[in-house]
Amino acid sequence: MVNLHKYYFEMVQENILVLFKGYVTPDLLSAILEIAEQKLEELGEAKRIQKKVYNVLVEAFQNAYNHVDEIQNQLYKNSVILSVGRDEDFYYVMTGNCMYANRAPKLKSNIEEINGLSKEELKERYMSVMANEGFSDKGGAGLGLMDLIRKSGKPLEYNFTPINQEYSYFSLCVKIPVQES
Amino acid sequence: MEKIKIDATNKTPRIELDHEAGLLKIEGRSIPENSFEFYKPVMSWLDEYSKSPNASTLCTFKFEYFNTSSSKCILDIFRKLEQIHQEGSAVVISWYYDEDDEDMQETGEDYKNIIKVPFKVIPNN
Repeated sequence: MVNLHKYYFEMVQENILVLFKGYVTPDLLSAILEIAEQKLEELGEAKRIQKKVYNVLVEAFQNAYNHVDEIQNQLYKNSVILSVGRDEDFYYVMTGNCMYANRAPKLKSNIEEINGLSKEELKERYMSVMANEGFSDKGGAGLGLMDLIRKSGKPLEYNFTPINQEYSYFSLCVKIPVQES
Repeated sequence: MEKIKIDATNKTPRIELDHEAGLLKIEGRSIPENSFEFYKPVMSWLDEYSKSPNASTLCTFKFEYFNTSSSKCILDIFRKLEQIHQEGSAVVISWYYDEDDEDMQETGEDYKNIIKVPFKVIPNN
């Protein structure tokens, strides 16, 4: 028997504005970004906050898209979740995707490290990586993640859930305060 | 050299490159997935331009949004402009930001600090 109430209820409870699960193509990503932008406008948020949230979600969604493309297996390619939610205090830009389990420890220590940097240190690191290190469309040396912290002003929340020996599921949440700090 | 004009899309900025007028203008959104591909024509134009630049080059950057991979491409453009400047032609970079967009202002200041070219960070009215 079909019953979507469970999903509906969870989405209402978590104030989900946008939620997508599946394989992401560039066209699809454009469409999702467009929908998310419209939703933000409809909420009538201050332009400044709207812009910040949009900026963060472009970066976060493209990041998830870039990384899942490295995976060969179609089942795990279909694993991307892109979501935006909001409560009284924060916007939540959330992404999930499968990744190779053997890359998880390095990503984890990278996130831990940049989460621990001060605003000034983060800026220095960002500029120096951008100016000096190898970098491609597929990202480089965690610049995208640093950007997410810089724009949101908050450390990244994340989780790795092992799926099997080869794959882990990576969840990322960027919180953006609704009130000006 | 040919003038280059590229229209804006919802992911890419409007671009204008004019050798005769000594003009480089990029404005709008820059959030393509493949920034390096997108900025290739600009880099090739600059390579060519740097061989015989105008006595002065006026560069305008007016971004609404850009992603991290674009930020690297923008730096590459600045490096090229820096080289033209160091080889003796006048170059001025104007970086415009919306008044309430602190992130864009700060990014402009960050670039200004590492690029040795006259660099103005200017609020939009």
